[in-house]
Amino acid sequence: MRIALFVPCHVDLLRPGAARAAARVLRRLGHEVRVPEGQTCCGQPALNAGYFRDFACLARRLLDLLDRDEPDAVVAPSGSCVAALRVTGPRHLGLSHPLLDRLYEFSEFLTRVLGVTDVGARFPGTVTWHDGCHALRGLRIREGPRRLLRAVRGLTLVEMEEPDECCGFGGTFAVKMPEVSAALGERKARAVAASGAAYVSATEPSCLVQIEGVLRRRGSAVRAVHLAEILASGEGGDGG
Amino acid sequence: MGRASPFRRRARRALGNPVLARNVLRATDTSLAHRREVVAERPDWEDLRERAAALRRHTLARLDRYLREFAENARARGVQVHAARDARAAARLVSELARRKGATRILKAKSMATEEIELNAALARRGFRPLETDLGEYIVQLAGERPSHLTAPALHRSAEEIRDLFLREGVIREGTALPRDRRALARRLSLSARETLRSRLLEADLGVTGANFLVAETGTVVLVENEGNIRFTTTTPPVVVAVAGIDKVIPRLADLGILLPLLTRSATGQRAAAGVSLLSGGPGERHVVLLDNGRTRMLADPEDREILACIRCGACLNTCPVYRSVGGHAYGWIYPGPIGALLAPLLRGRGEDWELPFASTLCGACAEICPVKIPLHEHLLRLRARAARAGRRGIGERIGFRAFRFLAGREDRFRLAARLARRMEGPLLRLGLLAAWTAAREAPRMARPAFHEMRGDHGPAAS
Amino acid sequence: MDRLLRRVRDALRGAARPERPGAPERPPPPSRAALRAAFREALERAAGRWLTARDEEEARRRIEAEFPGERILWWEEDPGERDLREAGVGVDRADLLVAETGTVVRTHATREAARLSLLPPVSVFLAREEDLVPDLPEALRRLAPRHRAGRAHTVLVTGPSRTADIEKELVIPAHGPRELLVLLLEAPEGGRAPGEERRRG
Repeated sequence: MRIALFVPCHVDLLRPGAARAAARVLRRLGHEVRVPEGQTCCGQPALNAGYFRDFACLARRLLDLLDRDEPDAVVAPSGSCVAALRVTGPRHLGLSHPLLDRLYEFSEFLTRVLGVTDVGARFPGTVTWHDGCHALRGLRIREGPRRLLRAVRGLTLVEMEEPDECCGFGGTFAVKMPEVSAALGERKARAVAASGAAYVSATEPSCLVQIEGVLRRRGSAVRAVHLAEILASGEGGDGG
Repeated sequence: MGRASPFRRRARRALGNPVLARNVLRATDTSLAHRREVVAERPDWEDLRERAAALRRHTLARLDRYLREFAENARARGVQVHAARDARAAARLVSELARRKGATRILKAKSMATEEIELNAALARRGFRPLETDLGEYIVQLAGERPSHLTAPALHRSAEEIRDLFLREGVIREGTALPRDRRALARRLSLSARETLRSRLLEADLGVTGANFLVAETGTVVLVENEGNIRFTTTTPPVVVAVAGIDKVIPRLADLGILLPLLTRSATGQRAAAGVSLLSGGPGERHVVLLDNGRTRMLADPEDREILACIRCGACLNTCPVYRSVGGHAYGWIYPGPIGALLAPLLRGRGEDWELPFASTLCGACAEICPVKIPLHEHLLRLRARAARAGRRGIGERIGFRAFRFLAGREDRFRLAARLARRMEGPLLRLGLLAAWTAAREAPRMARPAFHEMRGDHGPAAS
Repeated sequence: MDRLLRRVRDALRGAARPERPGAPERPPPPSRAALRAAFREALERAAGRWLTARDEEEARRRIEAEFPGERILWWEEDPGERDLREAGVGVDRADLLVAETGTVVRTHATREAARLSLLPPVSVFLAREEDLVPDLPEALRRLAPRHRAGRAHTVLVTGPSRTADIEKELVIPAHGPRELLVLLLEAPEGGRAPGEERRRG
């Protein structure tokens, strides 16, 4: 398949490893991966703050750009950006674009489109999974990532308490209501710590920023890794 | 950073109170656990929700007809039906009734509608002091507070706090031996309320209730309870008045077959409430006050109308991570949590109420749990847009997003801005200017190189 | 009222008017034995107690034996408020028993009658096998004619009164009865005896 990688701005600037890893996994599975040039931001911050027109403007720009070479699929290592474009945009402001039917979050692309669960990765360690809200409730992604993780050699998946409770990031919420956001993050970090896992993983980079921020402040040794980074690791790999 | 917003200030106060934080979390956890158990027993749960949602949509879209039908049928059963345009009119109707009846002893059942119209304050201005008969309401009344939850008004209070309150207010006599153990204490305190209130439940001049539902075809007021206090409130006094929002109307008695199980299982995790009263007319003098107070305004907007489907079970509060962290008082009105963050701006509409749709991470847990399938988080987002359009978010924010759109509208501008931000990150952190983030969390550091700056096999340049 | 109705009408002008959803499919009625078992289980889960007797005569003896020395009030005494306050046990008839939830349904004619199962610390309901219905929808179907006809005051009681308003700790009783018993008058052997029809008629 000809796949265009959608690299959301927060991935580009804060967690480039996730995009690299996603590309690596897809290529390893025999697909052609391109990164269309000119990508900036899908406009999700504006959407969530209620500035729908600013969002629509950026979303259309990005969708056109991603669709320029008419790829078979567009894949992003972020559930929230995909949900903003594919679910929230169409519902709230009638956003429509021919690409939306071919736009996928990374893990759902693997499990639902490619039907893959074992990508040949090796990642020794105990991992606990955090369900990012937009992936979970917007895109209905719950079991897929867990199946992918269970198939990773050396990896033990342990569930934390309430893996589906919000980590408290919530976009601008994190800085507009920092105390509440931090309280939620604390609760999530406690659940992560109590799970006994050495790693916490998610398909949402912004959740990882929040969880990692709290974990590090608590002096925790638990590390936050993106799902793609786990799946890309293994023989000859450099992820993880 | 400017002055913190009202919600943020109240939330901060709540977060600084470890007793409150513990109580709210524990109480909501308990409710959720009970709910999960009894929902799992109904394999038809999703079907019930679908039907309930469709039924509520149908009813609200024909509320003119059903409301008229309710009024006619209630009148035919001897009920005096009143309409109140706003909170003040409703409160006046009830206090006028109390005055006319010379009601010195007034019993009150738990009711969000009477909280909404601030009935107790209105009655107090006329020298009446009604007795809140629901234990939770009684506690918040004694404490001079407002309820912090739709179905569990005193859930923010610990047994120890309630013990001190009861001692101070003479509910329990000084020197009474009380258990230390928290659960035993909660038990003892609950039972003491029964003893203290008993005599007052037996003699009263006026009863005031809300309504869980109003049945159009039979003019019935439906009241759901566990304590028996509502049965006292509706049978002890010769005169009883029910205050209910017009959104409480349902077409038929049979509809309770769908709505009651959804309500009780969602609210308290019970298969059935201990007591449900179906009151079609007397015995005694009966009044119903139908409250508008902004509801017809909501009804006129097809999307706001959807929110009127709410049956006030409180499940969205229990599951909301924000509510679970800060409790109900942080929201600043009697309807808290996700549903409150919609009702406050739409029904009350003060400036500060319009901040509440932003007091959410939009995680969507509320919509997932709602028994009548209101997409609460979508409405929160919609109200955010309404607030932004109306300029309620300040000119700075509006310009900020316009600027962001300008920057992100072209790659070169965006990259330049990103590089600048990366250069500024260190100094900003050192100067403590990112405190909103860093007060409780380590800041993420911007990557060098960013993805678009990478070269080689797996960078953007590779294909 | 007219002004309110006008505002509602104006608000809904031009609104889409979705249809009423259909009624859920009803499962086939369970056997009487299954209903009995289900009711008993649900009642006991709601902290109610279950007794049986062959006939009313035996029922009275059983209740008196359960509560020796207590003032027992019977529904046909038409008790006044003073009796209600002094009684230890109130015995009322049940109109319907809802098996799924262990709920007793009773429609009252007077204010005092409504308080018979409220004021005395112990509330007993006498019921017959044919009063058993599987679920709330069926109970409501049977209740509806009475409420459509005019004034009616019905209570649906599930277990003794309770509260969990302090720290979610479940406490029985709250303001209502501390004990609730349902005494079933058993139909003759075989359940579907011909006598049943006669009793109903």
